[in-house]
Amino acid sequence: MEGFTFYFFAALALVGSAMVALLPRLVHSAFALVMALSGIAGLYWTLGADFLGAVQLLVYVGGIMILFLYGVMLTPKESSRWNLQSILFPGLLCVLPLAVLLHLGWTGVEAAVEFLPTLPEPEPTTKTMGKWFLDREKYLVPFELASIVLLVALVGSVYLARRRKEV
Amino acid sequence: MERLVGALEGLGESAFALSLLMCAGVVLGFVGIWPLFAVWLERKASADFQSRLGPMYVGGFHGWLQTLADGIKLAFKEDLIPAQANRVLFWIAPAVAFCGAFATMVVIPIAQGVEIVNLDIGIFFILAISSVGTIGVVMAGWASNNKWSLYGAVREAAQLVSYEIPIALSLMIPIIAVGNLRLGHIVGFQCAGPEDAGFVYLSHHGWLLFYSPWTLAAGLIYFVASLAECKRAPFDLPEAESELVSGFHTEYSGLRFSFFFLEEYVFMFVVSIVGALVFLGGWQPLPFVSFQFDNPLMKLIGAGILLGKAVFLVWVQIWLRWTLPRLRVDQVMTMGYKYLTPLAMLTLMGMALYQYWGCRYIPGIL
Amino acid sequence: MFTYMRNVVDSLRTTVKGMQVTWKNLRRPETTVEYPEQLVPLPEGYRGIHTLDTDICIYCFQCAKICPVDCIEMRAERVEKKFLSWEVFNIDYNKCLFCDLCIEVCPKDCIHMDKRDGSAKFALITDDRSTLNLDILEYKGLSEADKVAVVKVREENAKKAAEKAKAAAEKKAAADKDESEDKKDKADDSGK
Repeated sequence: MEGFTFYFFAALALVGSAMVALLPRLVHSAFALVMALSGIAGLYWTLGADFLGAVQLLVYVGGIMILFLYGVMLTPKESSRWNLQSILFPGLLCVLPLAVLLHLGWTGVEAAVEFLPTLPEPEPTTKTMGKWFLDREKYLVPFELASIVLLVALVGSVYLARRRKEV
Repeated sequence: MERLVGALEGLGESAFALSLLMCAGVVLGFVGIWPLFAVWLERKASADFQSRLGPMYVGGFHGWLQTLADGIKLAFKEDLIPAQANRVLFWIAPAVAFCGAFATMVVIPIAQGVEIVNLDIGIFFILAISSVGTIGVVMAGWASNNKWSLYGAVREAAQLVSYEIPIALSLMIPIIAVGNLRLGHIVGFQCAGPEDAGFVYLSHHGWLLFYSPWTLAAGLIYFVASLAECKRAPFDLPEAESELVSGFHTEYSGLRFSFFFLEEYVFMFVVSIVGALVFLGGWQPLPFVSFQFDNPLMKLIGAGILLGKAVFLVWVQIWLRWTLPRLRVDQVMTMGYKYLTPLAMLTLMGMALYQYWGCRYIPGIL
Repeated sequence: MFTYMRNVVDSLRTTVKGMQVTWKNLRRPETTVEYPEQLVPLPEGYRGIHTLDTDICIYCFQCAKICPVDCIEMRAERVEKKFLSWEVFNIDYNKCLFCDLCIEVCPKDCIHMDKRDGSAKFALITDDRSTLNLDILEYKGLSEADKVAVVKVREENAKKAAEKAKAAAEKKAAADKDESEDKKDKADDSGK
């Protein structure tokens, strides 16, 4: 079962990323990115990082991708076509991880487990994360720094978006 | 029953897959049946508010099969795809929008200990998954290749991203009191009583809505923000029919259109039942008096009470819809960013200090 | 800051007020009448399909003469050269404009289009215009239920009239009896 979920989400992430790189239309790439990010959220879940998976969905899929699409949808339609030069390099980059995934799928789950570090029984991470974020000896400083970065970004965006006085 | 479980265990992984399929079937069945009732309720309620009768013919008793008849009609309609539309995105958009509302049902406990998955991140999972539905709406709006659809989708995107902040913050306030994200634990906190409690007992905390002034404010903020989250009036800008024809699903017809419809009504139910679980004590019928819901019969009654509360909240949503006019776009944004978000943050800080100082709302029931 | 707080309070207050208004409407009884199942409550002077009380009618043809659109077609036949009998009394509702003139002109008040006979019809629904030429003598065009209702009301009226007549007759009979006795007495007197 875990093998199946892993392959499903891995395929979702990889195919999604490949589509991001290879599709000619910008909007299609953006939607493919949604697929890739959801696949990654699923991978987090199979690895037992439930909170991180949900954050991935909430922040990337529900938040950042919406803003992406917002921007992309309002850009004029560009008439780009398939063009070997432009997709050669990303295509080659995509082939490698897909090949690895196909190889793992072919040789079976046991080989995949060798690849991955042996996982402990997945247990809830939320409480530990909360404690560590507010623990002076663990991640308090990075946590506060990240929040300051976000605050600066917020103030900056308000500054950019404010109504300027007529000169 | 035990023999069945044993047989399932013998089957191993395939049994696990089978049980997953069964759970999906249960959720799908509910998701299919609920909108039939909700649409009927909406039509009857709106008729009541306007001194009309509403549907009366189909099915005999007050037209209770009207929605089913409409659904069958929708199913037999032609599935049109506009010539200039982006076929693939147009095709998958309703499914994406639907799965956001559909997947949230998985973690909702319907009675004490009766849920499909008891996720540790319970309520956070609901917030995360429900944000996926927005992608579907944006996809539908863009793929239709229609001005109105695109406007609707853009509004939807702006509105939902804005109102996710107050809704998440307002749900955080009861979590500060409870200290757990599991929905079952949140209800457990509200009906926690003494160790040797009998069938009826005074609970320590009571419903979270009345736990402190901050949770009361949070409940109000949650309700308003949840209206915006499920695109209900007065926040139904994405499908403002007097301005945008019908917004992001202008070009949809037949079964695909009904998927958007299902999504809206299922999501109404989800926000209502989450509100009932988090703020209104779940399956506890009274604010400060709790009952033991441990045997199957009581669980059934509890599930009924919970569903009743959810239906009541849905009815209040309908009531608001037929009361208030639609807000303007800038008013919606003002409401989200200038009022609900700061108020939610203020409430969050208040609740944190409140909890830190160990205050209790009603000193008698400690 | 003051405006901000006032906006918050105002939005809550106005919402509650609006919900009170809708709540009041919720409590109000429905104004809808499910027409084909329930009849619309008709006002007293409602003008519907005509009914003719053939017992009182004196065949004066006033109604047909005054009709501004000539929608009444009536023909009577003299039976045994003594009294008239109806052959045709049709009203063409394609033409009729429900002007009430035929009722006003009737000297015996025997043609009605109000609800006193229980026959007032709310709508004439048909997909064939020729069916709108109704034979008033046979209540043609009325639904079965309406016909039954009309017959019932007529019977009741007839009963009442009969009772009245009977009472009058008894009274008269009693008076006659007295009179005849008086006469008898007188005769006796004269005989003596």
